[in-house]
Order: sequence, then structure tokens, then C-alpha cells
Amino acid sequence: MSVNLLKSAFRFMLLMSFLSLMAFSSAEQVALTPPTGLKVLDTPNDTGETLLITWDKMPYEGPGIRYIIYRSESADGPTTEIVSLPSDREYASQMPQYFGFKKQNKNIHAYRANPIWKMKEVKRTKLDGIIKTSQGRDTAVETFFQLAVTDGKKIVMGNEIVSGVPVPNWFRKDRANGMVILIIMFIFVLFYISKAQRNPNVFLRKIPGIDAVDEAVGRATEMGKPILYSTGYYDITELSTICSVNILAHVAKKVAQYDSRLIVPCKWPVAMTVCQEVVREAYINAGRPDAFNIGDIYFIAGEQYSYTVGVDSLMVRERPAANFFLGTFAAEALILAETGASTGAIQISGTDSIYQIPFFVVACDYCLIGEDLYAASAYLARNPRLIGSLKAQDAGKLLLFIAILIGTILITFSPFYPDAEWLQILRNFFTVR
Amino acid sequence: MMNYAPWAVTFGVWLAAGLTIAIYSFLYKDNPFYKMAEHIYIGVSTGYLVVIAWNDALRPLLVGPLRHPGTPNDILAIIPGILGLMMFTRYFKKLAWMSRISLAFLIGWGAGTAAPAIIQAYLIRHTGTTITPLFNPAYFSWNPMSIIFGLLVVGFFSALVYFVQTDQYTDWDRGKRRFLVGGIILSFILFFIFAVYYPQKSVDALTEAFYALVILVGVISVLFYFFYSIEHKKSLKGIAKTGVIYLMVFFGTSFGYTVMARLSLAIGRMRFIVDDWLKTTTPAQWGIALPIIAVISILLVWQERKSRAARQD
Repeated sequence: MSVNLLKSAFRFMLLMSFLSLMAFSSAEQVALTPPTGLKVLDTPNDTGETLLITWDKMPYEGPGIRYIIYRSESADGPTTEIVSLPSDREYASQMPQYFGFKKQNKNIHAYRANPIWKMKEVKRTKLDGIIKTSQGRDTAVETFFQLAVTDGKKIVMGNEIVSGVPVPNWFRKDRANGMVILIIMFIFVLFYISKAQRNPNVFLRKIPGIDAVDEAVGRATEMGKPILYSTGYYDITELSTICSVNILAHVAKKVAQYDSRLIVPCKWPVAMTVCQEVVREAYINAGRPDAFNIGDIYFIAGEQYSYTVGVDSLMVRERPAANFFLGTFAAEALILAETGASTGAIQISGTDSIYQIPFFVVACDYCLIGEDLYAASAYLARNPRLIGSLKAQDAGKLLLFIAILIGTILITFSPFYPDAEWLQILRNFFTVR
Repeated sequence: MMNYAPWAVTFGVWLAAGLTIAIYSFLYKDNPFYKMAEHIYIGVSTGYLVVIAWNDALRPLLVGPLRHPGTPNDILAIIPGILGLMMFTRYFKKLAWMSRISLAFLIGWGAGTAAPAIIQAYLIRHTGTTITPLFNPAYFSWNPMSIIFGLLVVGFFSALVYFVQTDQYTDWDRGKRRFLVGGIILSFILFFIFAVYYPQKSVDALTEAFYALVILVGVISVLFYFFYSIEHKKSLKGIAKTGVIYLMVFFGTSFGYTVMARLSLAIGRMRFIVDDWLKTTTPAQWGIALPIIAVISILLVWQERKSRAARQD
């Protein structure tokens, strides 16, 4: 009896241990279910090139579990695998530019997928006897997606098949930060322009080098030598060239008053045309239209170093008493300034090209650093619109000043409030997309 | 790649070497050889740009679409075409005003497209990268000493703002000013030592904090230097001066870096003269080249004398 009892007890223990082992192993094994919540969205803020696929976070996710995305041209297939993703990656919270900063984004997976592209009709054009083929841009067709999940042994297909077509967007909403700053700056500019129109004697700090402009023109007149003015490397579409042309108007007026000679060698035909107009107007304003010589404002060359060679030779042969290099300059900055210095001319330079400022600082008598160039144009022209713009820039700088200080304090202490949504919005605002 | 005849390659090397030496002769002084090289250079580059303008812009974007329009959009090329032609109205006094429309379009387009790009590239990006934690919060800990020095920083700073606001600061002598500014700096340093370095004795933490502070001070002081609405004098002069120091440090490093790059360009040209030209020349080549060089020299000197005489007349 006791033996039977022992045998039964032993069998019971064996059964129990087997059952517990089974239970344990089944706990280790993942019970995969079809993934749910599959959606296809058009990717916002793009030119219609990709689609966003989202699906719910599933309870069985972990190491070794992967999601597979399939793509097809129709709902009936055939499907092609486009990507296999680890289950612990690709969340909507990692793409705030598309999904914002909602807390539930941590529970949604998201992946940016390419649709199926179809070649556009081939276009043929005849150009000078040669048949040219242009294929144009491909167009995206309606693309179907299906999701599956796998643990490496078996694949469980999702029940949902969704489709979408990417649409090009008119606006890039993720660049709204630039728009906000632009609007603020517009308001500042309009406000300060109206203020400057009411009171043109607005205070502007004196910029070192500005007084030297009149001094240089006077010196050249006394010496009976010409004045050389270069608007720089870029065409009139560049902001610095526009500012340089404003300063040129002031210099030309002084030259006309002093009855001296102004030479403006240009690198761009359009910039040359503008310079001719501006100088002509300055001579008319000074009451000396007869002294204006259009031949002194001429095109030298459109290539960087050939222009440099031309201006260098001009400086050596004409020996101007004053050289103005105002605008954006590139590698030619030192070559020009050094040659000018060797001729003994008084040199005034100014550029917003930060890598060339050192050369101008070294080789010129006066140098307008960066934004000084823009300020000088407003300071000299005393035009309410330019003064208003400069004042608006200062107001913008003050805003930046405050934003940097407050932002730095908030970011420094951000680990003490990690889930704050406003902090992420602040970070996002100062991110370039 | 095109295969050139050996004589063409040799001729090209001699021509390049000759023009290089002619351009470098400007280092001595302006001379006829330099003038010749200069005129060739400007002429060739201008001619090249004309060809580029025709092949890359005018023909494919204007003439081609208008002669053989493939789509209705091709006809739109007529608009830039007309704007371009309007530039030539400058040669007719009565119509010259029309060229201003094209210029206004160009300038407006330039300023309009530049503004958003500059805001994105300079303003937002720079501000975003400047806003960084002043210290790594993982190393940070509040302890009695850090609290004391933190309060001292706040106290000194508040006092500075108050005295500057009430304009008392400007009337003070140098000693009092130094006490206030020095107090802020010293308290800041001690705060960082006790709050960031001391808890874990981490030099990295202190270095990171130092870098972040250097960047913050640099951005703010340089920004202030380019502030035109306030005179940089008295108490504000110090901030502007700090900005200037930052700028000069940058200019110095940038200068040295670029000069090194330029030197390597000069070395490259010297290597061309020595390796590709001098070492490959043969007596036969010199035999042909020397008479040609002599003839060119005589012609150039004769031309120079002639033009000098004309100038003197």
C-alpha cells in the first residue's frame, strides 16, 4: 500500500513537474496575433514622394519580434516585402514633424514608405535637328500595404490591407517657424519705418570706418587720382550687393561734388547696369550730370579670377588713391586688398562673407565687419526705409537675445520635467527641417 | 576621356607653364608678359562664359522650348525671354525705362528668395544650436555650497542689472565695478565647481560646462556688438569688447587656416612647373621654344613702348 502510495506520489510529482515545465515554456513562447490599426497617410510637407504607414503597438513586442511591411499594386497582390523592422523601433513619437508631440504617439508605430512609381509618357522634342528624349517625372500610383509580424519561426499576416496615393503639398508646415519669424520681422520693419518717417533723426550708433568714406574721397581729390569701387563677387540679386550699391550712391555723390573720378569695374552685366543707373542718379542729384562718364563703370569679366586679375591690373596702372571693396567677396578678397595696399591707396572694405573678413582686416585701413555693411548703407543713405529696417533688425536681435537666455535656462533644467510638451515645442521651433 | 596627340600635350604644358610664369611675374612688377597673360585670361574666360550661357541657359531653356514646344508650359519661356530683351532697351533713350522692370524683377526675386533661406540657415539653426544645456544634468547636484554660490550669482547679477538700470554703475570707480563683475564671474566658477565637478569629481563635466558657457557668452556678446540702437560706451562697452575679442580670435584662426590652404595651391603650381614642365623638357623642345619666346618678347616690348609713347603724347 505504502509502495503504491509512493509510486502514485512519484507519478504525481512527475506530472506536476512536466506540467509546470510546459507552463513555463509556453510563457516564454510569444502568442503572435495579427497586428492591428494599420493606416496609410500622405506624408505632410513633401512633394508627394512618400506615404506614412502607422499601426498599433502590440503587447507581444520584444527582442526577436519583427514587423514586415508588404507592398502591392492591387488589393489581390502579388505582394513584395519592402522592409522588416525590429518591433521596438519606428514610433510616431520619433517623427514629431509629422505627428506632433502627443503622448499616445509612443504607442503607435510609424514608417515612411515609398509608393509604387510608374514611368510617365516619354516626351520627344526636336532641338536643332537633334531628337531629345525627356522622360519627365514618374507618377506614383495607388499602392496597397499589408503588415505582418514574425518571431523568426512563423509569420502572422495582418487582416487589414490599406492603400494610399502620395499628394504633393502646397505648403511646408514644418517650416512655419521661419514664417513666424518672418511675420514678426515684417511687423517690426513696418513699425520702425513708420517711426523713422515721423522722425528721421533716429539714433544710430556710429560705425567705425563710415567717416573714412568722405576722408578717402577728399584725399583722392587732393591727389588728383581716381577712386575705385567694387561691389564684389555676386550679382545684384545678393543682399550684400544691393547694400553696396546704396553705399556707392553716397560715394558717387561725394565724388561728383568734389569733381573727382570714380571707376567701378563690374563682374556681372546686370550689376553693372544697376551701378550705372545709381551713379548717374547720384551725379544728377549733386547737380553735375555733365561730369558723369558711363565708360568708367564697365564690365571686366564674369569669371572670378579673371575679374581679380583685371581689377589688380587696374589698381596698378590707374593708381587710385582710394579703393572701396564693399559686397560679398570670395577667395579674391586678399589678392585685391593686398594689391591695393601695395599701391599705397587708402582702402575701405566691408563684407558679409565671414571667411574673407580676416583678409580685409589685415590688408585694409578700415573694415566693415559683417552686418556693419548693411548698417553703413542705412547710416549713409539716411533713408527712413533703410533706417527702419535697421532698427527692426535690432529689435529682432533683442528678441533672439532673450530667446537664447531663457531657452538656455529652460533646456539646462529640462531633465527635471522630462515630459513637458512645451519644452519639445520650443526645441522644435529652433530646428531646421 | 579624349586622347590628344603628343605634340598637343607638350604644347599645352609649355603654354600653361609660360602663362603661369607670366602671371607670377606680377609679383616683381607690372610688365608686358603679365599684361599679355592677363588679356588672354580675361578674353578666354569671357568667351567661355558666353558659350556656357548659350549652351546651358539660352538654347535649352529659351530657344529650344520656343522653337519646338513639347508642352504648353514651354511657351511660358517667352516671359523670361521678354524680360531679358528688355535689358537691351537701355541702348534706346526713350525706351530705357523698360530695363528697370527687369532689374526690379531680379532684385525683388533675389531679396525674396534669400530672406526665408537666411532665416532658416542662419537665424533658426544658429539659435537652436546655441540653446544647449549649460551643464550635463547627470553630473549636477544641489548641495549647500552650490546653493550658496548659485544664490550669490543671482544676487550679484540682480545688483548689476539694478545699478545699470538706475545709471549708478557708470558713476562708480573702477574698483567697485570690478567687484561686482568679478563677483559674478567668481561665484559662477565656484557654483560650477561645487554643483557640477564636485559630486562626481568629473573633469569632463566641468569641461562641457565651460564650453557651453564660452559659446553662450560669445554669441550674446557678438550679437550685442552688432546692435546699432545703443551707443557702446560706459557699462556696455565691456560686452561689446568681449564680442570684438571673440571676433578677432575667429578671424585669426580663419586667416591661418586659409593661408595654409593658399600655400598648398602655390605648392601645387610650383610642382607643375618643376615636375610636369621642367623635368619633361628636351633640348629639341627648347630649340623650338626659345626663338618663339624671343619673338614674342620683342613684340611685347615694342608694343609696350609704343603704347607708353602714345600715353605720354
